[in-house]
Amino acid sequence: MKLYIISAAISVFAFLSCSKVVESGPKDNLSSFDDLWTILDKNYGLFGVKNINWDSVYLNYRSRVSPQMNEEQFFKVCSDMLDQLRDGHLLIKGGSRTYSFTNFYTLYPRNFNWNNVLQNYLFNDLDSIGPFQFKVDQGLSYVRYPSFLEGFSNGELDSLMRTFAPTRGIIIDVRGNLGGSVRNATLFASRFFRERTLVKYERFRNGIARDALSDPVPYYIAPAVPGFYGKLVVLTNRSCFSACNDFVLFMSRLPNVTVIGDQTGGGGSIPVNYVMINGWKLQYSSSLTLSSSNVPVEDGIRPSISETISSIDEVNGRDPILERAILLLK
Amino acid sequence: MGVEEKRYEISLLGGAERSHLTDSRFSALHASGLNAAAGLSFRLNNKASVTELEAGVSFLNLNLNGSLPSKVDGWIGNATFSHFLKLAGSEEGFSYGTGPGLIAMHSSRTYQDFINMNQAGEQLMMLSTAHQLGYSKGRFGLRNRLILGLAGVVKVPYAGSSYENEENGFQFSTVFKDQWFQNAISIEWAVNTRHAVGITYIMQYYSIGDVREVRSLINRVCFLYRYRL
Repeated sequence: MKLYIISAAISVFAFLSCSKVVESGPKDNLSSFDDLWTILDKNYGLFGVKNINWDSVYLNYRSRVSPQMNEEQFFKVCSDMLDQLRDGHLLIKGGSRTYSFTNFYTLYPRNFNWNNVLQNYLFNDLDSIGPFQFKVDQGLSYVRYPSFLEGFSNGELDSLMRTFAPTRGIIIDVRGNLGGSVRNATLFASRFFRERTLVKYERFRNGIARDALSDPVPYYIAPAVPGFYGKLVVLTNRSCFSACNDFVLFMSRLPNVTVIGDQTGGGGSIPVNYVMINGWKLQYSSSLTLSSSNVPVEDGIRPSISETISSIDEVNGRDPILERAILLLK
Repeated sequence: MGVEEKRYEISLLGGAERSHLTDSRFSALHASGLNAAAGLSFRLNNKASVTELEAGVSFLNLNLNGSLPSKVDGWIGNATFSHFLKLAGSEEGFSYGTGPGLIAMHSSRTYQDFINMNQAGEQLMMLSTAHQLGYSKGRFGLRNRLILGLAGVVKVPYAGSSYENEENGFQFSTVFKDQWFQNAISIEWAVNTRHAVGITYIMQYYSIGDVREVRSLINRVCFLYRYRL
């Protein structure tokens, strides 16, 4: 019986500790700011390449927070703090407000005008399977994947590959694709690989030290059928970000691929979502992505052939990036 | 009627639970919800001891209480093995037993509204101490069973998707770092010599991890059906 009393006492202590599970904690501005700063302090994966004094950032921005601030004012302080990291994966959503860092593409030429492509090159005639918009004409295929957030089934991908099979080349247009699921990028890319291929390494934040990262974890693409092994051209611009950046990284491993356009927007890391104690949703980078030759791709991937669309071209409805691709495949 | 040498019993449990879970990787807020739960146990009742093997599963359907919807789906599976030595009491009236045991747990979750890194989980296997306090009179039986993990191996919480290689190996741990305990109170009524029905209330808690901490509390109410083989 004594043993039971001892174990019952232990369970009472355990019960008291488990009350932490159901505690919501304070949700005031200062606590919410601390929650935001701390979760990044412990988990953000890119401190090593951002060259920023995160402690100074804390002192600087926490002094601007007061309990009396309204939500809009507090949101502005948090947004300004995150701006210091200059990371397109950083995002806060609170109520109707959204912050994201967009300078990685807004400071650069767009190099993509879908209306011009649709009207002057596809002649408003295109098909779609799942999220893929495509046209097959004169032995050439053009396919646009607007967002890697949009999923697809294996069956849809099978149909797409069978449609492309008789053609001599495919233009894959991922301009303006701001990313989404790495899984979708992997599944799509797997249709162009003949053998299992190392395409990148991922280094995950794994310790209290801000530059603590795991050893590089290799990431492979395994081939899937039906596939396409003819000539491929991938069109890129600065708003090809995150999973799109990964897709270009994967595809650039293939000898039959030419990347044409502008440098991609980067975002070479795996984003993680977090719900702050005030209920806002935060997204941040948890890792550092390296190419298969161990080079960070956080700032983007350069094309094999640089090409741009001038403002005059755009007004005239021309797309020299697409024209270069067509020329290459002819 | 004398006490039999051996008695085999099998029990089925089914019910609902209120579950709270905090995973510091995804939020300092807790996710909570009402889930379905089920269990199965096998018990060998000897003259001097009781051996029990029990498995239970919770089907998680939680909501993270942020300003935007965040659903968490998944499951928690537990298996416990306990061997109670009857230290005091008899078939009628109060009884008490205690002994060693083994706990195995697997928890797996998907954060439905998150992309890429949206899967998480943890695993645990621990030696435990088990205690059972019972009271029976006629067809009526009351039992409180406590299982407390002492030491074992814990697979630290992981989060990922296709990044299965993320470092998340098993580590040695003790009750002073990671905790798992379960307390079950059952009220039973013997319908006849073979069949018994009852209600069980289970409180189960675990806490795993340091840098990244996961805490789970479950309050479960189950209907119980016991069949004597």
